[in-house]
Amino acid sequence: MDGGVVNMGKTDSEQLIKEKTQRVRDAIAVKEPDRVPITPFADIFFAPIQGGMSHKDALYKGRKYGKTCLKVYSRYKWDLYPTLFLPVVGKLNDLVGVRTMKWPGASNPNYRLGDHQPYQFLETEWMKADEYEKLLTDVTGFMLRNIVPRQNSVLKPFEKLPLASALTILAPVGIPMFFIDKEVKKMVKEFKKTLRKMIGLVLGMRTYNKTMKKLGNPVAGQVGFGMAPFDMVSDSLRGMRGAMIDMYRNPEELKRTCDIFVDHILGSMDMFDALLGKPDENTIPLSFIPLHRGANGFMSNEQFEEFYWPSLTAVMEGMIKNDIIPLPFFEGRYSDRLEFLAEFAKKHKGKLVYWFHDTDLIKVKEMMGDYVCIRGNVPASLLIGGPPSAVEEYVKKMIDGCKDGGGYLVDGGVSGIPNEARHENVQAMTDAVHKYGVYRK
Amino acid sequence: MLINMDFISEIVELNENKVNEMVKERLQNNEDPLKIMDDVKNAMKIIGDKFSKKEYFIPELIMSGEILRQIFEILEPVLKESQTSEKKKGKVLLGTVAGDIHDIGKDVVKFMLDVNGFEVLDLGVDVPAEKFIQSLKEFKPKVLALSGFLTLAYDSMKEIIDRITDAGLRESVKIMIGGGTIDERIVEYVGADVYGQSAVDAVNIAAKWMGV
Repeated sequence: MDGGVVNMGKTDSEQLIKEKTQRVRDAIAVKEPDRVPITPFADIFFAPIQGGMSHKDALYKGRKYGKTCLKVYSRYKWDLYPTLFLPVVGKLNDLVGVRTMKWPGASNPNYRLGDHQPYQFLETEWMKADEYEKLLTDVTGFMLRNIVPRQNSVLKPFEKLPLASALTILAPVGIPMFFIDKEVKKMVKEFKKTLRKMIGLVLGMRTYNKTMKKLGNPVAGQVGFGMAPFDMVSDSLRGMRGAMIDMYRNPEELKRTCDIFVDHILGSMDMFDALLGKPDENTIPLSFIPLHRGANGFMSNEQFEEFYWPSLTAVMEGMIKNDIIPLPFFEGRYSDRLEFLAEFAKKHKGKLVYWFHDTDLIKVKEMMGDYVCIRGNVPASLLIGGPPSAVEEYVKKMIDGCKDGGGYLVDGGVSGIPNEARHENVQAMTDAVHKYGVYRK
Repeated sequence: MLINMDFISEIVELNENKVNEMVKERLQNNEDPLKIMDDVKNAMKIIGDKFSKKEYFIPELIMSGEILRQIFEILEPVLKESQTSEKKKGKVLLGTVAGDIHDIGKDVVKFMLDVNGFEVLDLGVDVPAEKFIQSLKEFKPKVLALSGFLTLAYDSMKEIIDRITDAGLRESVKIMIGGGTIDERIVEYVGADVYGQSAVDAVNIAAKWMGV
């Protein structure tokens, strides 16, 4: 075993997993478990920094990344452990020639950040306003042939993907014609070369999941990955500036695009199965939905109600219908939106988790605590700056204010455990939950 | 006619087509382009006030910027060297700290300081300590505003402020910090003077510090 991690008997670990997942399930169902669960998400570079790995290595050395996460996370007595999110994303990015973010170690110097910097996204107007009609006529075709090649330089040959006319009974000609194209052949060759190197990605994640299981540590069941459709347009197509100008100049096209994206999001819920394994009976099928432009200040409540909320609720309702638990992450402040959130929660009691960054949890508990499990929100400033006594005090205050009736999960505020968090503060957060979170022995 | 209220309210209401028409019409009537610019400034001030009062949000700031850009396009050929006589309230140096390339919050702060009459020098994103120090020496601002979205900004801000102190410049400037993951607990950690939660706070703090 790695780094002093103690293994245990199979029955013990199975028992432990059942206990922990039941605790979390009860909390989500807004019932009192034996103790308030602690279910941290961890930002990608927290474990690497603790384990002395550079940010660059975290993105390029999958097996080492998996081992480091295992060692760092198993120091803490948590109820649900973080899912490994795409280690070796660096190699994947190099493989397709990503132009939508900058990251440490990028093979293309134009997209390279320092070895000790986290990756950061680049928001650009990838799609012009006058392309909405093309997008709306054939969403997937337009994305594949127009957006993907713009955003990923190696995938430029996707521009030549066959149109519907070549996909009928003519497919036996149309499809091979694509693959025998000189540039496409070159791209496929590149792929094969890099994919072989990527075995560490899959192995790193699988070893992590398996070993965690042996240790009796359930890993958060990441089923799919959701987004607010408005954020898809804003982050990936039009840029925030473009999307917000569209609210004035092309409101109908913008809303139609958001509506169309709903089914696409719901249709790709199994996207990560190959990496994370199919969900089993111990999986808590949470779907993380990081939200970007819906926070206070980004738009008015009227704009939120018109452009942001309807398609996001459609995504969440679709998930609930498929027994997936939506986990929207309300980054920033959502104090102006609480009426919307409460109304949705009332309709779906015990079927979702609201994770807050910088919104007053105790107020949220008062408003909608009977219907929805809330998660959060130990501030990054405390997990990084401490001191541990202040962390303990904060966690105690949140538990006192939120534990009644169940429905509370302890986690950090932004990104769960932030990259630069200090061990003693994370330990204090964990200890405080075990000390103050008990409902019954 | 001293102030063209219709024109100002069309800008404030973000009716871009109507605004463009009116600018062209006013030029055809041989109005002084500098007077048109004064109206535009007044309109932007009203938009800033509406943002402070939570009547306007980021989409409105972006649209007003877009309208401003179009007005400039029309006026540029006829606008002589801008001979602004307006006295600015004071200088603010602004930037997103080294390691962080986020700009939304910083740009909103810049907009609000601008329309409220401050002279702002925006150093952009991922700004290292040396660049801040050099600009402190040359631009001589009364206020330094450091922005950061990521948690790495804590240590980056701390380093920048330490270096400013080492360069003997800390006493010459008041420092405010803000951004996504920043809160008041970080002020002491990084050695700043105050945390501002919003662009409106930034304006109020700067005004207080400059006694305006």
